[in-house]
Amino acid sequence: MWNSLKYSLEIELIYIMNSFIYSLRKLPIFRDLFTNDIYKNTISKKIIGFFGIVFWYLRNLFLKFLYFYIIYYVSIKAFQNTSKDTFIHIYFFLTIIGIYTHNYLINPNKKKYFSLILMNIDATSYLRANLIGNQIKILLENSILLFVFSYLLKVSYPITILLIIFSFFARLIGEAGLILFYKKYHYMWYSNSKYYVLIVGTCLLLTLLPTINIYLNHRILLIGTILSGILGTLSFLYLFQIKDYKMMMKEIFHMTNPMNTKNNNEYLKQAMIEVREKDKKIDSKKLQGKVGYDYLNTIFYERHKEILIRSAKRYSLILIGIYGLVIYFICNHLYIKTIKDVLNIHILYLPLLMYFINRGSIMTQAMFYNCDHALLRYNFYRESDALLGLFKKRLFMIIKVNLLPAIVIGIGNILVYYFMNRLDLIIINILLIFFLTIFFSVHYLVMYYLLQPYNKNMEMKSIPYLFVSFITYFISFIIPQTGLSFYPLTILVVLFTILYLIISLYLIHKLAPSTFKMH
Amino acid sequence: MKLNINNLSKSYQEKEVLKDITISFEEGKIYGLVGRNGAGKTTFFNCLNEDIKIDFGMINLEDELGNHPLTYNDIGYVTSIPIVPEFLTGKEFLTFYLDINKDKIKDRKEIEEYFSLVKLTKEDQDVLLKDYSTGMKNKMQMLINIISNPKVLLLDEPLTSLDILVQEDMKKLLKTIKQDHIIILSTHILELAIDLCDEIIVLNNKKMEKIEKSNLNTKKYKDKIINMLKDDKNVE
Repeated sequence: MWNSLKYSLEIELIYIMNSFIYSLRKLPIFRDLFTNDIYKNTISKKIIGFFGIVFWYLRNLFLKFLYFYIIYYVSIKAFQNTSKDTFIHIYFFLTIIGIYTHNYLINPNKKKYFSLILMNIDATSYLRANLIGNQIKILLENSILLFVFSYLLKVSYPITILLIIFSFFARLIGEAGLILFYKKYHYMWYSNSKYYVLIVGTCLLLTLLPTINIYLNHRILLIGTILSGILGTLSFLYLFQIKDYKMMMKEIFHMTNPMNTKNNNEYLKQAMIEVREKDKKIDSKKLQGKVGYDYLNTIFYERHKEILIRSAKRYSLILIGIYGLVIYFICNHLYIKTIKDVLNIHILYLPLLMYFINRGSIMTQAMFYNCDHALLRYNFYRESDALLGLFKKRLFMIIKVNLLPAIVIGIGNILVYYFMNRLDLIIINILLIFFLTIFFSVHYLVMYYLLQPYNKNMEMKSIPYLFVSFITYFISFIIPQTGLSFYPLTILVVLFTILYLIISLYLIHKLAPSTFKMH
Repeated sequence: MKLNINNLSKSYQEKEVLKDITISFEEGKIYGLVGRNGAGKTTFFNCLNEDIKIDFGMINLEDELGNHPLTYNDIGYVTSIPIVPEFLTGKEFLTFYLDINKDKIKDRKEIEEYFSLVKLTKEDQDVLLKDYSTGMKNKMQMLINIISNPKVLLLDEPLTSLDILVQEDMKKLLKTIKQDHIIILSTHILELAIDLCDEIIVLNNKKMEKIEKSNLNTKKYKDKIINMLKDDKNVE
């Protein structure tokens, strides 16, 4: 078993090292510096690879830290008097969501494919080694981070230890549960969107209970931990005796083809490429009078309607729930001071909110997977007039989808203004939401056309694309810190969006024929 | 019509793949491009199709417009693995393609006629391309590439995945259309190259060489090509 752990770790480390070097070589400054010889087992490879591994680990650790920090931040900012109980409450319910949404044993990825299929490592030992390795990692990271944040919040040691034990065993329950579910139904439980919304939605609502002064009782935490301990131990015993792991993974690899993408959550991608039976037939009226790219775009939209608007619909539902809750508070005179405070600054947070609800990146991904991946192989698809024509059609399509949650935010805000007597904010609100929707829709489509981040294997491997995405996020994030007044911000957003749209159309016409192609 | 390639070179960083290639291809002929794995056949096609930048050299087309640089508009490129927009039906793909290229297509025919050219039945036309077999996708890809009448047709291993009957259909089709095109076909199947192509070109040691058949019989011609490919000094 330890040999399996050693081999799989070695494969993982080599994979991380080579991927890091590969990504670095995509940057112009490193392209000439590192030749193909870098992949030989040289000292420079070891040094760069070491940084790659450190970078990879720090990034993962940072994400985990960020997760804890956000819970901590929400607890101390929104619930100043009960931050300790809020932290325990949120962490407990988010861990339950994690049971359902996270797994490491049967999620299909390239590293598993290399180890189990190409290298033919003994699957049972591999499963056991990974199980133990991952659980130790979870235990160590959770212990350190929980002790740090518990110390900051003055959570007692026994409670901290209960949380550590609870999260340790919860993960085992999730792994065993998913495997049992998969064996019975032959799909991952989280890929069923109805159950996903129901389970995650219910848990999220439970997570929000501190807003109405209900907190997780310590007795419930104790019972939950004991239960999780018993079920977790049974899960561990079950996982340790699984004999058909390789068969199961072969079946999953067969369905998901992990070599075609680096995205671990393959089932989402599967669902993204799928054309549903009911969407195969298109009402002929919808295609009447349409020719060329208009015809293509209409068919694309009609056949992928569900995929394209699914997440916009989900966001809209969540937003309706949140606004409903806020209006409920206002009508019952709850948290009025907090709501007033939020109203004084919320306009500055609109860019960040619109950034998060924008569906541009998912839609361009669907465009690539389902349409451009194939059509870019044909030369007629690269002509500048054609590209610009299709760009405009797609832009309208993205704006249309993004407007769904945007309208919910707009109406939600107007209702809140009405009840809070802040009708002076209505015009700014409408202008900002409208122009930010247009800006983010244009932005993602422009990035897609000018930086075309996917390769032939449908992997996203573009550092410039990731960099621009990060900058976009960073600017949206930094706006509230600038303390700009509402009116200058609105004027700035309106003017910038108009300018950006004009420049984008020009750039697409000029540059896209050479940038929008297969790499 | 003539495709002239002069001093074409292409390297991937320190690895030189094509070196100072000068060669001409003429209208009315099918050229068979043979070479060992990794010799650079697909790189050569990608250079012509402007998928990758060349390091050095000129690629010109000599036609009724004079001698001008070859652009991707002059080219139809059929890839070895047929990749088609799977969310469209065969008929929708063809309708869209005909709309887009209406200015380029002379003597436009009815959709049915185009399908009969590659022997796709009426039932097949309304099926999503994702449900087509590889052979049917290949036929569709070939059809799309020949309809707009590109001057140069590049075929990368076009017949490998097809069944024997479809292969025969495709061979007939290529022989029919070769009069107005320059067709370059890469293949690993020497028999196919000898059977279908008018001239064989070996790509080896970064260079291209036309193999003259002169008075050789098929067996000797085949041996000559194999010996060229075996030549150790020709392999890096």
